Amino acid sequence: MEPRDVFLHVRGEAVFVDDALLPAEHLFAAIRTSHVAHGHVRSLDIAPAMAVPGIYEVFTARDIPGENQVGKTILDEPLLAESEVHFVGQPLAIVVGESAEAARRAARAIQVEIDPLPAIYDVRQAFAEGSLIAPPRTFSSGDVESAWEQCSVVVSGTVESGSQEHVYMETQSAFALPTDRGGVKVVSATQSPSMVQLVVARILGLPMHEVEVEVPRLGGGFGGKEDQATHWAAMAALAAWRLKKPVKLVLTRHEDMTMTGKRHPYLSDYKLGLDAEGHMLAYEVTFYQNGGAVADLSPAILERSLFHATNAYAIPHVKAVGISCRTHLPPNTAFRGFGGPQALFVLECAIFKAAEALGVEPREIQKRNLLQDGDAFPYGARVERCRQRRCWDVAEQKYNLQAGLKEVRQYNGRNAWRKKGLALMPICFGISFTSTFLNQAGAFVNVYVDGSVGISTSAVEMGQGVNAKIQEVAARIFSIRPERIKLETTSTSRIANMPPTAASTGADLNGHATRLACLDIVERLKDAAARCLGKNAPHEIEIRDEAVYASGEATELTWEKLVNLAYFDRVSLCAQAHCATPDIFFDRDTNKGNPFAYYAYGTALVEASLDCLRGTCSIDAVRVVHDFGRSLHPLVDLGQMEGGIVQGVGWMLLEEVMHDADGRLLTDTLATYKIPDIHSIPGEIQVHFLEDAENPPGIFQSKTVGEPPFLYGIGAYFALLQAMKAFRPDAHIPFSSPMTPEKVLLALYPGDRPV
Amino acid sequence: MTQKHEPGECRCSRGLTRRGFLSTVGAGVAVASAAGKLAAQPAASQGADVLPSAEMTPITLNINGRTHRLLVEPRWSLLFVLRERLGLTGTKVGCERGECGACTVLMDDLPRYACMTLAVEAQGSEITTLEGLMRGEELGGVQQAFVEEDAFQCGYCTPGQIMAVEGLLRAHPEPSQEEIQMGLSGNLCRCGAYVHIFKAAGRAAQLKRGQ
Amino acid sequence: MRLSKFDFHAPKTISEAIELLQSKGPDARLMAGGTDLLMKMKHGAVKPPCLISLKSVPGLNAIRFDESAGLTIGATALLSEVAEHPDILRHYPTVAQAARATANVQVRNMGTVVGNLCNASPAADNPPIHMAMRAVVLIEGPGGKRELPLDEFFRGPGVTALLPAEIVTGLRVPRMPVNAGTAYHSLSARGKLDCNAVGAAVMLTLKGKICEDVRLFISACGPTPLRGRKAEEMVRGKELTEEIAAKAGAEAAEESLPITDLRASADYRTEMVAVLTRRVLKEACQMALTSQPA
Repeated sequence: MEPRDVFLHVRGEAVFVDDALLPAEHLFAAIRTSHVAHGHVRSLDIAPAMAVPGIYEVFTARDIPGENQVGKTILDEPLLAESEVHFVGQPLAIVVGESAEAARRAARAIQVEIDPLPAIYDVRQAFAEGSLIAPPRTFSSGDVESAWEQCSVVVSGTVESGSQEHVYMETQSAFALPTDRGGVKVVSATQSPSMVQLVVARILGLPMHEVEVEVPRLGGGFGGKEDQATHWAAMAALAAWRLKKPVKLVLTRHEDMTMTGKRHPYLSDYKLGLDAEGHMLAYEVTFYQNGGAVADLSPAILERSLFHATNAYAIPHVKAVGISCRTHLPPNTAFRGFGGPQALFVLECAIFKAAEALGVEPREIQKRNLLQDGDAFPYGARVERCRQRRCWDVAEQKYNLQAGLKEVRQYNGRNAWRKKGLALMPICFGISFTSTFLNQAGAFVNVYVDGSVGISTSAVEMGQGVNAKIQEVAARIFSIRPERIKLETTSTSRIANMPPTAASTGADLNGHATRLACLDIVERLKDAAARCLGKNAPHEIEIRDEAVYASGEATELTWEKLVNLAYFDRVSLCAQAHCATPDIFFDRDTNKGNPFAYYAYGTALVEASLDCLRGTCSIDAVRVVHDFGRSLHPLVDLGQMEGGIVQGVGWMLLEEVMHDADGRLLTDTLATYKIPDIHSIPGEIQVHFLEDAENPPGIFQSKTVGEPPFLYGIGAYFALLQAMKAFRPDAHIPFSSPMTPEKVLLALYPGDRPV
Repeated sequence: MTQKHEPGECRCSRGLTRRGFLSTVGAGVAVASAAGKLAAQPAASQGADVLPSAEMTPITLNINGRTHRLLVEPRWSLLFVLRERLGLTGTKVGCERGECGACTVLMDDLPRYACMTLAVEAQGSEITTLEGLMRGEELGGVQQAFVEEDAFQCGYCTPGQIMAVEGLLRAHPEPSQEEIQMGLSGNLCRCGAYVHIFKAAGRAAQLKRGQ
Repeated sequence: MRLSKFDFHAPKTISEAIELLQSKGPDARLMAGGTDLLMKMKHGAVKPPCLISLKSVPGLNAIRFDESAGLTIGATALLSEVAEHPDILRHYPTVAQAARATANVQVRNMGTVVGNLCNASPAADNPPIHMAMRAVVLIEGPGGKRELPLDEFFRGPGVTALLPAEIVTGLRVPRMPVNAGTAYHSLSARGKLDCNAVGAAVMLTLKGKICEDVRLFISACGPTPLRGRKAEEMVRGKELTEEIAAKAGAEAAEESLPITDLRASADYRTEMVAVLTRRVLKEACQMALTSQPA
């Protein structure tokens, strides 16, 4: 019984939302959206839709019995647009029919008239016009203004980073079933079951206990189902509740790409000052975040950009300003890294430019400024148990940096039209939700009389392997075979008030909660064993490898016998536990605090090959030394590492989201929006687990993986830049991601021909 | 604001659907009942040249060694028929435009996109889906290799990846690195498990050769 | 995502198919593998009320090679069959290569070379090399059979020289002349499997080291694959040195008519025409040199 449903997946038996068998007579919903980026809705005529055969009902904002609001922290997002629309793809109406096809045809038949209003897509314009999602925020330490004078070199400029479409292979999907009490059960592909529950209750005007949300598993999430799975679940729920019939809503790929938000594009202005030795003294950065039309998670994402503005480096004087701009694009949202990658990219660009100014290699500046114990982050947190330098040093030695550099130099000397580049990418990523209250989770553990175990937690399995890790935790605490342990689906009826499975916290929060619940049961079992054996104190009882020992001596009791005996002894074999990350806090008035339980550290060496005639780049190798703590599940962690790197490289070099001048998505299919395929992955990915890396706050001394590996992808950009410089040292290379072959070529040959 | 259609008066045109029959009687029975309904109709359509759009057309599909007779519209994709009519949900929907590979099946041993194949055109071919790779309760070689090499994360693209490898190995029992790459180039994995999928293809070749 | 409704016909002979085309009118669509057509239908770009599949016509999927007549590729021969056919690999390696460069394995197992031609996409992988190799389109219609050089087949994006109710039954590719070499390169701006941003194919014949004859075609840089006549002029009668190849590349870039679209900008395409032309010329020259008797 593999918890990651390994056998189910290879047999095709794993049931995703769209695979589930539904009761007979279930209906299908489809959505009519706005074709205008900003405008007044003059009229919405649903009669033509009702005339389509097989249509049951059309719902608009007026049919919402509760509050037409899906916003999270800032309540600025209607489920269905009312008098105004704010982006192309914004839902206006839900059509329910006997087939998905009929519903879609009817949705298209709805007559919508919208009077266009001026639309903004550009962050600078939004800022100039005061179109902001929240007031700007500033994190600062030291005194930047007075520090510039001490600097030998000051560089400044602008960095653009592109958007990124999630392309979870399973599109957004949900179905809802009315309950006999007048409530609703929703099965949703969401990372945030409790958020779906809250919003559905709000939309329907019901108490939350009348809404049950269950998540079987996700076919990928990556943040795209953290906040933006809610809408579709709420629409299915509204339709099911109103019609008293099961309703399914599954977006097509095209709908998913056009209706949902993506990674936030950033435009950032930076200024970096260094002394003659390459110490970074002062850094000033302003992040202009393109939030899209509504807040969604933008303020939180921007906050993480501010937290990670200085990445893995100690810089005494820092001023980081974050400006979340409201534009008329679909609301951008969480995507692996949550604003961190955008921030890291800016500083690495600044370092690259500073290295040119100082006449040194970027890696020299990087290495000189790495964090160590005793340093502090600009938001006041002390750096403790820092392994940044260790990771760097091990990477240098283990992957023989000097030899690698020499090989690259020799290769570049031999080849006129092909060049290689090598870059190092140190990363530092804080682990915890930066909204402190979210750092809690629950676990509910049932031991059955036959010795099998069922566990429910707040965690949603989406391929990140959280269930495997929780199973491992329970197996260790009980000291039983993992096969005995099953991870249940995630349900709001079993665990209340769950945080989203996000911020890389799933394994830690839910692992700790599971550990506590299992420990409760173990204590009760030891009591029961002591009572049964009659001559030992409970603390002398030990369960080891499915057997029960008393004072180190084997007894006749096994796990199964003990469980059975405890049951007849009327001992509770269920336990619920709650975990809240200790010692974290953050004051949003002063922007100071200690928001993270710990940090993930690591360093990657990235090697790129450039075809200087075609501008095409391949990543030859990504070699990583990463601090996994004491890895809880090396196989899962390795997969997370490799996958994160592939996604990060895709963001930097390949994936390009484009809109037309009217805010319509141009890259709206997988033929025009390219994600990495088997040809575009790095030629080699080596991962070294840093040794002796216990991590007390993590579950069983481990560190979580999840988001941090994505950051190594940024190294690919700079490896490519190194190769470009090897070909043309005077090239003026814009700091703009993704660095597509086209951009490469235009930078290598400004105005002239390659042949 | 909306006029109410009672289900009774709804102009419903649907025939059997997955949920319609599976939730009541199960797939095996459904096939039989579908075949029963067809008994009164002219025999198989393989001799017919015209399949009119307005009518449901009887077709015969050979899927995983079993013969299924069912009614389809000419415009239905094989993917739709597999999932929504026959309940074979191991074949996944990823893009429905031949761009992701989640719906890969074999037709006469060749991997194809079920979303881009008309069901009427799948007649006469031996269709193999992921469900058809099982040897009783035992995993097929490619499935076993995917388990051994941990060749997935979320699992959604996995059925398509496995079918692509199965097709590759049927054509090239000892594939080169390049052949593996070419064989997998029509299948996307957003979790980025490519390194492991690549290894699984190699391992599957070994397993299939009995090593 | 369901297609719009259509009648589906599977005629058993070409003449039946022609009759159907005549009786159903211009909205009826022929289909070989269906990969391009079904995609367009899914996008809603076309809604044909009637599809006529050629797959049931016996023998139309044949691939034949004859020492004198050359190669014939039937209308329903799959891209994968062309890519792997031993005679094609041996005598027409670049034809196989172009078929193999088309999309991915699943699509090659559905799509056909002839369908790829008839779709008349300016960016398609197969036309340039067939044009360079003087392929001839075999056509049957109400007026009987006729043949047309592939050069003259394309009239614009999606537009061919076919008359109403005519069907392409196959493609004949003459044998490669002695001392000839061929090459094809394509490039997409994003990733290997993206639709092409640029393609270039060439066939050239050497006498000694001198380039006697050369046919160069550029794809995705104009409404149809374009012939690089000025580039050919630059090469003809000369030894193909680095310098000549580079000059020919520059000429081809001058001659091309690229546009900016989702796949790439016009500037990028122009640069790439030069690069790819240079590469295919050198590669074809190399092949011709090695094929010459010592």
